[in-house]
Amino acid sequence: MPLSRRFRALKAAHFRAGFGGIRCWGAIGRNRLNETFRVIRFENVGMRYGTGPEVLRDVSFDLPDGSFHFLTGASGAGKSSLLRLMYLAQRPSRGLISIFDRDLSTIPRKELPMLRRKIGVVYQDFRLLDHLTTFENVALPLKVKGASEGVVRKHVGELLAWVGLNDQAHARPATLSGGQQQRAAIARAVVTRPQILLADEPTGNVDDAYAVRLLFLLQELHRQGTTVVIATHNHALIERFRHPVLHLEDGILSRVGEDPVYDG
Amino acid sequence: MAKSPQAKNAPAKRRTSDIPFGHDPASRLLPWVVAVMVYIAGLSIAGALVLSAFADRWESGLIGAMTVQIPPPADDAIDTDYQDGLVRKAVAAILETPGVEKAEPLATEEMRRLLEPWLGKSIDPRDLPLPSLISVEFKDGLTAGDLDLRDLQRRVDAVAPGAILDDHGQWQARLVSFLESLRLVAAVLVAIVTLAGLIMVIFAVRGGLLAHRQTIELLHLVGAVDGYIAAQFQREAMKAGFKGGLLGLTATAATVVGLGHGAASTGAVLPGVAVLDPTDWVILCLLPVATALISVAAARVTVLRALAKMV
Repeated sequence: MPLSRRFRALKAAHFRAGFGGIRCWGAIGRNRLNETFRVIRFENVGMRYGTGPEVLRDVSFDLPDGSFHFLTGASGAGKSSLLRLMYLAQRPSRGLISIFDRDLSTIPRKELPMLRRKIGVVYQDFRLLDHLTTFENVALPLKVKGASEGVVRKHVGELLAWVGLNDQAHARPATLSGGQQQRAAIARAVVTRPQILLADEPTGNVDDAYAVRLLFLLQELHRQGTTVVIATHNHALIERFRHPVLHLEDGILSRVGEDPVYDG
Repeated sequence: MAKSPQAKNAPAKRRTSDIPFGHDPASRLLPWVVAVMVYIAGLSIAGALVLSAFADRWESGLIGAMTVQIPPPADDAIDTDYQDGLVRKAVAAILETPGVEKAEPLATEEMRRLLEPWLGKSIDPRDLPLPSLISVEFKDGLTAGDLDLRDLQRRVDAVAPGAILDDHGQWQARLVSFLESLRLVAAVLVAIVTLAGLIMVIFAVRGGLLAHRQTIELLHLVGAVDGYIAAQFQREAMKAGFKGGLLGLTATAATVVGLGHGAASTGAVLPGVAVLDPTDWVILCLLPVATALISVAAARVTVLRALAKMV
């Protein structure tokens, strides 16, 4: 489905739900769940910062294409570090990571940007650039890809409408509320239609009702075929949405919940 | 015509850098540092060009000419008629030499004028045992090297023994050697200033990389290639280099023109305002372009090397 049609469908669903109480999300688009293709694979991965202790130890798991996982664990358990490895901000100290079937230890550095463009990230602190407007922040991944101005205008406009930030297109992040900043960060993460969406504590700074709405949005992206991993502390959400859970404890991954491909 | 929502939301057309260089003190100061460097380099280059023009002017006055000295009698007995006779014969001999256009003895008045600063107005040069001077000019385009100076010496010796031919070669050689030294000093100065400027740009870029580390990491994470990030630093360095270059050039031009006016007021001894010809000014005007290009190259190399160390 073309991106514009997809966003129009999402926008319609969004407006149907009023974003003030999403009640019904019809199945939009094709779920690309493909059990045979592992978009992310970790094998005995260990990671340390500098010469410090290992923050992740012998982490092994596979994420099939189009899956949805929660990543849980106490503060300091290594959730953010695991996500940093997944979005290629960090290299492991040991072990094997492959993303889209590409072994990261052998992939040339110049090819990493192409892989990163397939991964959308919602950071815990949003990481919006203060000197850019909401529009420019959301447009950033398209701009670095070299998209034409027309494409940028069209897609970013649609996405801003989707996340309900149409009226804030020219606003700077500092003038947005926390929720608005978060929606801008989500829009930026999905503007290039990534194959993987990683979100680090996206519900950390919002109330429960908003957290549920947010999860519905992310779930909708998942239904479009995006592989989603959400790091969260919010057990109510995990209970409610019932997706497989990757649980970290002191840097060691343990299985919680239903996940047929987990082999840790 | 009503605008679509997308068009309405799009920001006005302007080139916004993804990296907020304006918030970075090193970036703000860079044009001023470049301006100082360009000022020093500009003055050095202008100095070298002035010297070259000066030397060319002297040289063109001397090329194609020489002086023949007819010494006074050895016993210091002053016999003006005898001496004048020698000069006349020498002039005739010189004029017979192929390639010679003109040969004229230095007039007594001119001799008096030359000696006046040392001997005063009351002295008649004809009363002194001084050599007689003959100014010789060659035919168009010929220099002393084109003439058979041995033949000329022989001809003059035949009528005025002991005559000395002075083609100004020794004086010119010393002048050229001195000017070469000055040009070398100017070139070294320009090289040092260029190096200092390069180091300043590299430090400013490194400072920018540190100051905007988080933004750069974000750009990487959204898929920016190193060249995309380097291009933003290059644009900033180009702006700083060109702006600094223009400031430095303006200061250089003001100084050169001011010094030219000052020199002109001293009389004909020093070069005047118009000592830099249009070509020289074009060379100076290329300075901002050169600084912009050097800044761009330095920024690119520095950024790419730094980014290569990142994940």
